[in-house]
Amino acid sequence: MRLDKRRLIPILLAVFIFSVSLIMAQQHESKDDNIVGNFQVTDVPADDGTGLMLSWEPLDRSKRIIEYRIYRGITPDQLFFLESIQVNPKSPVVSDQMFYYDNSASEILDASFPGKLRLEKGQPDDGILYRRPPRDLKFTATLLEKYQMISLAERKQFYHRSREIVEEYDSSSDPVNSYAGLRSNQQTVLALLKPGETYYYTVVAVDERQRMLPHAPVTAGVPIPNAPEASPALYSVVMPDTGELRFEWEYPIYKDALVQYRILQVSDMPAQEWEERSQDPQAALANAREIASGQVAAGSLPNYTVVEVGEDIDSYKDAVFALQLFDYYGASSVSPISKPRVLNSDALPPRTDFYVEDKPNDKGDRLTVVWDNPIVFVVKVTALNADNSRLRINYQLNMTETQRVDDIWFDFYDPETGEHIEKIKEFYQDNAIVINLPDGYEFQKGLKVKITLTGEGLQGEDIPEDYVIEQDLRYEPAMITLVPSRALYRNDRDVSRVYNVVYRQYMHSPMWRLVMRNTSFDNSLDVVVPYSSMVQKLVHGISYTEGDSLVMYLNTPAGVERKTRALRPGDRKGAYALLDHTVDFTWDHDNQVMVRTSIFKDAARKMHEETVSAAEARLAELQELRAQSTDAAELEGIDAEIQRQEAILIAHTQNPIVDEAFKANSNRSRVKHVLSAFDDFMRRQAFKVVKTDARGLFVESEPEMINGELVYHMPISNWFDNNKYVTLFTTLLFCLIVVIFVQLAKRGKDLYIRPIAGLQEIDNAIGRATEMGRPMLYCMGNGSISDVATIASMGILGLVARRAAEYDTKLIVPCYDYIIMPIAQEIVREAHYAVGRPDTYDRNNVFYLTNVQFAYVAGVNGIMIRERMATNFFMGFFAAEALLMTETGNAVGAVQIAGTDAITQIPFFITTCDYTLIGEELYAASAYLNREPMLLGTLKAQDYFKFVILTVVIIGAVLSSFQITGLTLLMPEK
Amino acid sequence: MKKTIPLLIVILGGLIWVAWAFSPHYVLQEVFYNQFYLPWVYAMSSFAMLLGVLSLSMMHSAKIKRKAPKWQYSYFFFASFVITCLAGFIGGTQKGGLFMWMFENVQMPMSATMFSLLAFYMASAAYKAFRARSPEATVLLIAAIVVMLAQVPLGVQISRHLPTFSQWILDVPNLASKRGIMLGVGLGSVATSLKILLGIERSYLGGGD
Repeated sequence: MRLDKRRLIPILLAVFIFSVSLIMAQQHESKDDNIVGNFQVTDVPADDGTGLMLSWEPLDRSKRIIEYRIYRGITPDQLFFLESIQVNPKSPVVSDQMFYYDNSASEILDASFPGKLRLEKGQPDDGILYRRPPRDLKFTATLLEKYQMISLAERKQFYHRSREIVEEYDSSSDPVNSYAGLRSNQQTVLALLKPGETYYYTVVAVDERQRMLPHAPVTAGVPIPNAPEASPALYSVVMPDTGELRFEWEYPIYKDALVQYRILQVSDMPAQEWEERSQDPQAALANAREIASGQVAAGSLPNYTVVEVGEDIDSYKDAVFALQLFDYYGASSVSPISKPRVLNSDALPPRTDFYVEDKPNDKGDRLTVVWDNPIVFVVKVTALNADNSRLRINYQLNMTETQRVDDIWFDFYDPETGEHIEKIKEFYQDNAIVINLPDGYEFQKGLKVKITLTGEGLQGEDIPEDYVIEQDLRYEPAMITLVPSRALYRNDRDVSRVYNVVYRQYMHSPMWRLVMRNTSFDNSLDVVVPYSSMVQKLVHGISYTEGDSLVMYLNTPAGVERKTRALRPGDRKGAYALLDHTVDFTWDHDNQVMVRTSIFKDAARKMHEETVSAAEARLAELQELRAQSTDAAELEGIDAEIQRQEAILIAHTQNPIVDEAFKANSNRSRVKHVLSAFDDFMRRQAFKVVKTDARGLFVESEPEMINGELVYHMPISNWFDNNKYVTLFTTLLFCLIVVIFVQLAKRGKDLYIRPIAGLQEIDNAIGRATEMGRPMLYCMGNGSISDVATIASMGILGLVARRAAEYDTKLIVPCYDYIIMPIAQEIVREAHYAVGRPDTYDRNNVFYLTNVQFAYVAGVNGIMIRERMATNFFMGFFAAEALLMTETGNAVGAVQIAGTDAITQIPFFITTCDYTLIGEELYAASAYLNREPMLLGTLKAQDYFKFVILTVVIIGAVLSSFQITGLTLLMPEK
Repeated sequence: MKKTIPLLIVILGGLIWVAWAFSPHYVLQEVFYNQFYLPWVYAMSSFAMLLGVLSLSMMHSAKIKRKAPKWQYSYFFFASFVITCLAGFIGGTQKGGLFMWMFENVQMPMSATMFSLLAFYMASAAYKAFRARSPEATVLLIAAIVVMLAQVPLGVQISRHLPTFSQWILDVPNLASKRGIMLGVGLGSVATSLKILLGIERSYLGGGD
């Protein structure tokens, strides 16, 4: 059939229609396919009403998605970028659903955010997706109603650079209410969702080509406060011999909103029935009897309590208990019921004796709580031969920096017969020993290991001889090797399920707060006591100027209120986040009063006067009441209140720290004093350790007390690192040797330096370039100015440049580092001036090339080929680029002299260059070429010091062979 | 005076760094290093970068003016410089922008190309090094063959002791010589630092005395 014009047209038309339909269908299909499926926004269960959970079905792997971007807004037509979830385009998302929890503080204003409202890339003009919210407090003010905002600022920004913003003035022009104002570039504002408000979300997938695919339908969500999650378990113990009930419980995962607990005696019933009934705590606990109650503080307070019931103890043996947890909205939940174990006090774990010490060699932000001698345990067993008769046993040694272990003795026994197999003395602790099993020993029987130690343990005392740790190494068929069992016996008692829980108490709070729960494999805990560097404050409002008015959006109990007033002289223009200007100043421990102040001087004075006059007025009022009252109970209450007011008065009027603050010349020095006083009490902490089986058997340690007062510890910032005494000594010794040789050289003593071929040939190489009339290249490597190799290279550059200037040979210096470039220019310029040839200096021959490694190679290679170099110098620190450059130099026929301290590149230089300076020879070059006595002296000192080191290495090796490790241990590890 | 003040600054700075190395105190580790030194380094390095850019621009503009060999390529420098700057300043440096696109699709492949050349150069260098022209080179050749064979299954087929022997070569003679060099490098570094601290070494100040 001929394809004539008549047939061709319909065929083409059909193909065209088919293609268009196909493309349209594909587009239609792909548009739907590119939107994440089943996007939902739901309330986070069991939270305090500040969280929403987003869920969606991820796109197919074929879409090559690299991230899912989440957008949030308070209206459906303006959503801001919130967070990005990165995914690997090469591997699919494993689960059917992806989740994002918007339940923590997210940034809503930051210095890195765009300056103005900006649509997201690729969005049309009427698009709804925006980048981050603009860095404009005026805009942030519009969001104030919908978010709880928190300002996070550096301490110096808040204390020293915030401005006083006055809400209003009274008739005598005194400020009535003022705030600390921070600008948008001084802080990061974080936002939390508010319960009951509506928020809108969408999710956008971004593919490997950086295309933002269409967004999911905008979906609204409302966070609602829910009843808290129930405690997973309550454990109870009835202790007849002491007449005590002991309770210990576990907190749920989400515990931030918990404030209080109640332990109740409830009716006994099957667990299933209780679970059903406890869905309604009010009904379930209608007839319950309260046994104990207390605070929880978001799960940071102790999770145990003791109730003394005395002789009634027997009535509790068959009792059933439950734990009720309350959040700050008053909602509650109930744990599963707990039937008590009846045990006498001898079942309790032994009380933990502990002490607190400052962690040595730190900047003063750590304390160590120590409760045990060093602990050693086996962590891994590896067979070293085919018949499993030779085993490597890796162990872990846990000890504090002040403890010392001299030797560890490992005794291995046959677990079945108890026969002693081998004793190993570990005199140098490298965390591994090797044991040879006797011929015919059945590997599968396993081993029993008994570990004893010698050295210094608790508080510098010798580790007791009866301190024994035992472990079983059992055969594990799945791993075809021995593995240490979970049980760890300490003096015959299994301590693997006993925990040491560390609590701390700040000076200004009576509460003990959880630091960490530790296993019995730990003998101490490093507690971080950080230096305060950030200030976190609630945002009370936002103010900005509009014409001649000051506009304020202020958070009030009724919502956000907009206030305006005329600008007055002294008012700050611009936009500010308004924060509370009062801060904690000092804790008067004797009177148990917290003294607060303002960061502004006048406000501080006023605040102080108001506090004092309020206390005085209240005191006068109380004295009057006391005189009139006859009721004993009422009198007792009044006396307590009088005592309290007197304490406040004393803390504010007779406190030298407060007086000193007011004596300060400037507000800056006053604030400095405030901060110093604040740090002084905030960084002091008392500790206690609770030993527990986490099932209701616990014993509290005695906190450290002196004269009935708790001992508060504050970490000390150390001026010298004790591990570096030897380093300091050797450095000083080296300095001394250098000084001696410099003096000898100065007096004219001839110091022999062995010839270094690479340096001797420099003159010849320069001469060759001069004769050939071709330029030379000097490459200083990719090191920075702080590299010693680069500094040494500069010395050689000066000498090479001088010779080059003398012979009028062009020297090209392409620099890798832009900080080195001006120095190299100056060195070459000085060299030209020094030989009286300033006219031949061309600064364009010493230039910055690039600091991208392979781009630098390409540039240098190009120069070498174009300029046909006669001589190349490679002096400095080099990496992978070394061989690429020297091979090219080789190819153009240049004489090449290289020098580096980079061990990995030395072989390449040796292979491809004519002469190579190895390691320290590079540093010696400057002295060698200059022949200056001072420089030669240091070189000679280096050689002699190397001899000293070699001697110490040999002595150390010999002593270690005789198990004398003192010298080895003396050396710093790093 | 031109040299004395910079020298004093260097000596003072050097002493502070010596103190920093030996003292963990808050003043040195936090106040000096984190709060003073690092912000200054960040601030200063951007100005130094400007110097570098100026130098490169001057060098290329001089080339164009003088019609130096291959001067036409200098236009590529200016073109690339302007395009990259515009892409970065206008479109931003984030993923998805032209700047990052150019980085990922121009600079990275070109760098990778240069890096891939290393394999061929290595082969060439190895050929030069392994020519058994002297007893030392012969030892090198044998050691290299052993180590290379031990890395591939064929090595184990030849002898099951080969990997052990290879590891011994790496762990004992190789490591010993490496440590020897490192010891010298370490001492040399200390000596050079000392020379700078004492004002004996002044090359970093630019030129002669």
